[in-house]
Amino acid sequence: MESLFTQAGAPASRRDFFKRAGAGVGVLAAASTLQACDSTDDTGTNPSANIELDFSNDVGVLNYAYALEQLEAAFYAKVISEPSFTSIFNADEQAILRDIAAHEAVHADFFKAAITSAAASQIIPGLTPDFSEVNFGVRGTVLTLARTFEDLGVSAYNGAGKFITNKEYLLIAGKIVSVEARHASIISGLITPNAIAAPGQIDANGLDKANTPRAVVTAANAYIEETLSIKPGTGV
Amino acid sequence: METNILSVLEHGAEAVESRRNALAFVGKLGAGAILSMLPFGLADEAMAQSAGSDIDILNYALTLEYLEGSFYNQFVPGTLPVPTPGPYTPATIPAAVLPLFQKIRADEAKHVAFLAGVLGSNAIAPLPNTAFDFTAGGMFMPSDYQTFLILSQGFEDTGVRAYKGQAGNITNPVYLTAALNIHSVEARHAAAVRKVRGLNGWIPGDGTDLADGPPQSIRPVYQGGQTRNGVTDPSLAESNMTQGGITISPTDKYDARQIQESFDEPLGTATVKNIADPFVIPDLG
Repeated sequence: MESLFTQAGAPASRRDFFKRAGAGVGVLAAASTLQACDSTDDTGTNPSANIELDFSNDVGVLNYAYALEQLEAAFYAKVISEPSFTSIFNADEQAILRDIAAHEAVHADFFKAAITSAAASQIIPGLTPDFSEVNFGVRGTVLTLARTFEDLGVSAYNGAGKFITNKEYLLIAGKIVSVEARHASIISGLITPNAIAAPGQIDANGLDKANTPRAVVTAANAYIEETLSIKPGTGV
Repeated sequence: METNILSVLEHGAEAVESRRNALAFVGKLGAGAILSMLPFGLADEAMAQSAGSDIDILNYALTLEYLEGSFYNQFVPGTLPVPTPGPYTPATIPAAVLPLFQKIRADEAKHVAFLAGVLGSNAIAPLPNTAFDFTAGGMFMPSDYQTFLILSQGFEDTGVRAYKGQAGNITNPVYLTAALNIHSVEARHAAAVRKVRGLNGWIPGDGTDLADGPPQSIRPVYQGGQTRNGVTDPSLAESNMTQGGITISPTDKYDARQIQESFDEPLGTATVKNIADPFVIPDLG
């Protein structure tokens, strides 16, 4: 079982673990559980596939955003290119998902250009998404994972804001995070009428939940072949 | 870090106190209401130079939340979380979307309580419903559902732009994270309201696509920065396609509209005050 991924070590076991956590649970719910297993999971990881994010400088934070946008862009590109896309989604939903796919592609392309411009030698490579566990033929599965990615993105940007020292970069992150929040809201409404977020995403004070970079990369790692990690000793 | 927080708090308290003294005159609503307006009166010149204190910024946010909170408290029917009913007749909101607006109403009330709690004794005095004129001098009648929706969209999208315009000015990382966590909830609200109106959840340009003709236009919400009291807000319109000096061009994956939608733009205090002014008694200084 899962022989294709067995040699990859960590990613396969993460996917299995996530799968057991249940599709409806979502990445965030699984994140804390996964983190506890990290030390053993990472034992077999090919070091060359490890992408370390250095939060001690702004380029590291930009790379973090770039990684997440790549993942989102790849997800929606696959969603809208599936043969079942036009049969499981109505015209309005198709338009929404095509728009979101376009926005995420814009974000990913922008970060690639921005980081290349700012620090070409430090840009992370293109990621290799792995959605092999996702059944793209099921409307609810696609929308639930879309909501998970959007809420993950919102929580990631909100949690990373305080690490950004350059005000211009912080502003750009702010320009993007509200668009991710718009996506999250609309997708949530497609799943549950009148909902604007997944259950528990907005706290008792009416605030979105921010997430630490560690929790976010752990969640994201379930869907990429490489392993994102946070450089130790950077106060994150 | 603790020293910094204390320093910020002390500085903020002094700033608020000095403005209170300077502006202790009697207005239409009495001293209490006048005091309430002060944070919105924070110097445009100072804000243009990004010199506002965290306390000023949080009170600015609180003022906007009072405006939103009062709007929903008065126009969204149902059991209210506030003790003071306003002078308006609630809008006739269809049952299918009433839970959404009750959720938004609850969120805004929570934002008010949260910000007031964080600010503690530095918070502005509570703004009662009577501090607001949601007809904007007779231009709007938000008891009408469609008008209610237009204003709701306008307030939410203004809120998103207003928070975004201040993020870079907040020095305390705890406050910054909290502000970002409110900012994204406002964006969730805005998208949902837009969808109810049959629009996309995201902003396609500078608002000229909107059919909200005069006198109900909310186009200024989406346009570039305005001038107020001689101070010009340099914020760009929502149609902006250049970010951080990088101009994004259409490809086979996205067109110009979608590029514009991909980034929400900020607004400075001058423009936000111009937008909010018609709804606030007295004006925002």
